[in-house]
Amino acid sequence: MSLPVPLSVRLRTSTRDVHITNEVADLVFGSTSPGGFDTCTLSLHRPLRFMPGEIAQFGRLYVYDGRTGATVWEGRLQDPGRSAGDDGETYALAAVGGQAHLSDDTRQYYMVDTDMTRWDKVDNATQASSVEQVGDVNDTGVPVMFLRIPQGTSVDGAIPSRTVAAHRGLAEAGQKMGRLSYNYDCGLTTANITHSMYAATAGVGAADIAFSTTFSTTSSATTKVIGTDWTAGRNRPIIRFHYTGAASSVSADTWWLQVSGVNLLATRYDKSGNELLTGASYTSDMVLAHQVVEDLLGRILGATVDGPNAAIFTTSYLIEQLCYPDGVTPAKVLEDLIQFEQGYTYHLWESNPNNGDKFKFEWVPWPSTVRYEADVLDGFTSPASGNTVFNKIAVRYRNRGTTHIRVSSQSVPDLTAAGFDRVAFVDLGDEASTSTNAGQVGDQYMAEHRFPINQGSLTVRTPILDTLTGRMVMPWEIRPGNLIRVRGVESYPSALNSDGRDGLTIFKIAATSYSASEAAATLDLDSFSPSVARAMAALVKRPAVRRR
Amino acid sequence: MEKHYLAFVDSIAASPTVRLDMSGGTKGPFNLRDGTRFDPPPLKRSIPSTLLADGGTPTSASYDNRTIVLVLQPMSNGAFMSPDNAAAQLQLLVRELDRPTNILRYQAGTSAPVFFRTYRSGPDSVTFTPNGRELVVTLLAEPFALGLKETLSPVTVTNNPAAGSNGMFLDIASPKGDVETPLTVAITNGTGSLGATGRLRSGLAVRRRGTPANVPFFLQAEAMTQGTDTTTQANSASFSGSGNNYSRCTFGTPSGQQRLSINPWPSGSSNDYRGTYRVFLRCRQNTASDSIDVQLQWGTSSPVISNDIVRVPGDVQIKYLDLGLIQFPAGYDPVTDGLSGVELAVQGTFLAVYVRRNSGTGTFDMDLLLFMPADDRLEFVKWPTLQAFSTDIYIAEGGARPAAYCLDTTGYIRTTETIEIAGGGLMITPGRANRVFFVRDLGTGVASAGTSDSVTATHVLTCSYYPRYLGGFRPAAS
Repeated sequence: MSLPVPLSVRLRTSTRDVHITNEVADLVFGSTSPGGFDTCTLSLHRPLRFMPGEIAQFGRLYVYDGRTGATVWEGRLQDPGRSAGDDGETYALAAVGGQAHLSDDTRQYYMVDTDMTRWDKVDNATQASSVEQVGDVNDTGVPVMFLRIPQGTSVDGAIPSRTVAAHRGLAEAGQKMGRLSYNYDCGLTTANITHSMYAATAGVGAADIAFSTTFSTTSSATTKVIGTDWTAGRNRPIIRFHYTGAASSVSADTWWLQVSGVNLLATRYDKSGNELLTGASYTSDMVLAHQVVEDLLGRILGATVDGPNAAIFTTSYLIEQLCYPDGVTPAKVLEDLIQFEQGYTYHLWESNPNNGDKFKFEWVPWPSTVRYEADVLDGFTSPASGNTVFNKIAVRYRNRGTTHIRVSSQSVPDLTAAGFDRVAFVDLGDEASTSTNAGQVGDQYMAEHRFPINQGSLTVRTPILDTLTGRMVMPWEIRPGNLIRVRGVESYPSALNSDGRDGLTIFKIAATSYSASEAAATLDLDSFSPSVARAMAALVKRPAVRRR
Repeated sequence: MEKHYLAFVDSIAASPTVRLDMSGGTKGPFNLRDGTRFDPPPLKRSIPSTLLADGGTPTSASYDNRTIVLVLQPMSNGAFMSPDNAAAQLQLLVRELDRPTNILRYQAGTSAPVFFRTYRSGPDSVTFTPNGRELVVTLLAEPFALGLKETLSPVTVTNNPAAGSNGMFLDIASPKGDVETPLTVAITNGTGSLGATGRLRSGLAVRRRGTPANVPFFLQAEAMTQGTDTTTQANSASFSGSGNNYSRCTFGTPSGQQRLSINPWPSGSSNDYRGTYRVFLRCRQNTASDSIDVQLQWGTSSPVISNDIVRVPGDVQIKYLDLGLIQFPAGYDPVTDGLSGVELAVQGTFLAVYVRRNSGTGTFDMDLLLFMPADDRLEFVKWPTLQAFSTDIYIAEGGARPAAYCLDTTGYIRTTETIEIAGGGLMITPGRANRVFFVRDLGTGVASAGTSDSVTATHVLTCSYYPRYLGGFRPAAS
């Protein structure tokens, strides 16, 4: 093919909708996986004396394939930089794809919380009562919470005398109770002390008694769910005990309730924005990554992302802990989910005109079959540093107020032969941290670092075969999140039977970037190629909140 | 002796207003001197090169702006013009050069002129001495010289691919010019209107290689093998074709089943089958609340290539549903027999329509599969909700900067709801057959708003273009 690149560029604002194809210079657009459409930059020569109607903050920028009418890039204008100089009066337009909406909203976010340090005493009817957390009560690694009325305290069932502990974070985050389970034990057996679980409302509002029993030294457990055990809307979980007998004094240090293994689940949304308000939606003490993805779409991203038509593949790893009391963006949550499910990725593509021009979303597994066939003629690099190989990993995490390090290992022949260990370090903070979660993250990380990770790139200037669509596709049609087989590198028969990237001839496409002036697409293979731009982008995307 | 005419004019028209005539020769006021040049525009090319292979293949190329060198001498009746008169003439010339844009008409002794759209340019040099007075200017201009606007006869296009003539297409036999040029299509109402609640989304495409009439454009559902729970139905005027002219799936088995298939399609072989097509299914679900999905599978019967699953909008109107892209042939296409340049003919492929009913009890009707060429130029235009007057003319301009707007009968632009365009504007190629496809509504918005697609709707399409030339001249008739 030797014709002008058949791309068409369109700007749309509330006041103007025009195609500017023959006026733009330096058109470059790209995509990433995970992420989807990333950035698009171009130069547009327009007078600076007035702002052209087609240029506005958050206006839409489209790049079409003029042959097929398909959208090859779409996003919102973000930086209409103006300049005047040797090149005349110029607008350097930068647009960002739909993935930018993942960073629009930072908020407290609870999915499942096992950390008892967020429970606190909330009632002072019995001033001597206390709520305290013990990180490791029996040196077994099991943290517990004690609700207690100390010996010598005057008590009266008419008040009644009581100890009340509540979880404050859920209501502060504007979320609601979906499920609460815990183990408990008591210091004595008596019919005069009642242990209860309340599903209350912040601000001493309406409450339901979800569970109630008298004190017993026989340890037990309880699990209660929304719909069945309390009315939808309750947001203040309470664990308490109170005295029901005649006025007297506590005669021994046995008026305590020991609670452990707390699993507090917030209610979730489905991808269409419907809050799940029946117990049938909360059958486990843990959450799955795809459930969290749906919740993000339904709860936070409904105005910008096409949740109802999103493609969300189910996952299997049950996440024990996922909450962000210091605030988080959907982008950061998705990043954390991928640490648990490294076989998955997500993309935001072009908008859906049949649903308010919201961006299409997909949460999908990395494919195991090769989609694209290309060769090295237009340019290929494949640096794969031993710096990315590890045979051990230390995952730091904080849970229930205590910092832990979980270490795991794997066999790496190259390191065995070299005779030393390389230990990776991952900091999970306290937002997604339990021992099991740390193990899962460590295992997933190790699997990705058994072999050197390629940080190379492939340049594509001519049509290549797309085995998924059965078509020859132009360089700008290549999308990340797929596998590509590169001919001309290390031929061997198994490359034709691959079940994933092999670091030799089959690569993950981590990112694409198409430059119209060069008529070429550059593909980042397996991981993002190191560049100043990527490093700066990573800095910008750092969460605004601290890791604890 | 042949006469060269050169003038700045106000428009590209047969009889434009002349702003400055520079054709007098030595009689004046300007004598066009040796050194005047109308060089063709330079061709910019992207040619990747590597030591891995010999040579390099241009991956893209486009013409740059051209420069026109004019050497002009103010003269009067065979003699140098007086200094005052020469200064006045040169002032007139400089004023024309200084316009942000201008139009230069040039007729190089031929019977038809060409026009250059020029940009502001300053003189390269000015000589103003007793021995001679001369101005040299390098004019920056758009790449191509343009001929007069060519307006073709109006064609009534019927919104039915099986119509006897001009079913969703019109032909442009042999456009004039040297190189491809943007096509403008003016659309007026026949029996159909473009303004409609829900906003029509028209599709326009072009085929301009081989024999465009051989493009495999549509396939009737009743001509395909009727699959699970699917049978042809008695003739209905709402559907395209004759006899039993559509297929109905009753969903005895609601899950995804092959409802229609054919292998191969099209039959036989042809160079003209080659290409990429965007496939649309004309269909109707008969119970609005049903949830029905459709998927096109193609290539070989096993393994197949599966396009995306598409949800049918929840209404009971007839509509076109976008089933995605296919390619004849599937997969790698060598195009030619080795290095011979001899094109290899292409056979059709297996095609199958899978339909599932996720919920509901209703049936699903399928009329035809439409194959819009999608390897050259394909654009979709979203028209306004309302057409103020039935006589309004909707314009779809092609080229690198496609645009669409509305004119009233007097040629004035009418303000409408913003018209949106996706895809690339139409271009036509001179000297060969060009077929322009026009489908009234390929979107689903109108159907959802309560109006079925109509196979009897007609529109009158009037095509026009400006032929483009590489040199500074053109033949009389082409």
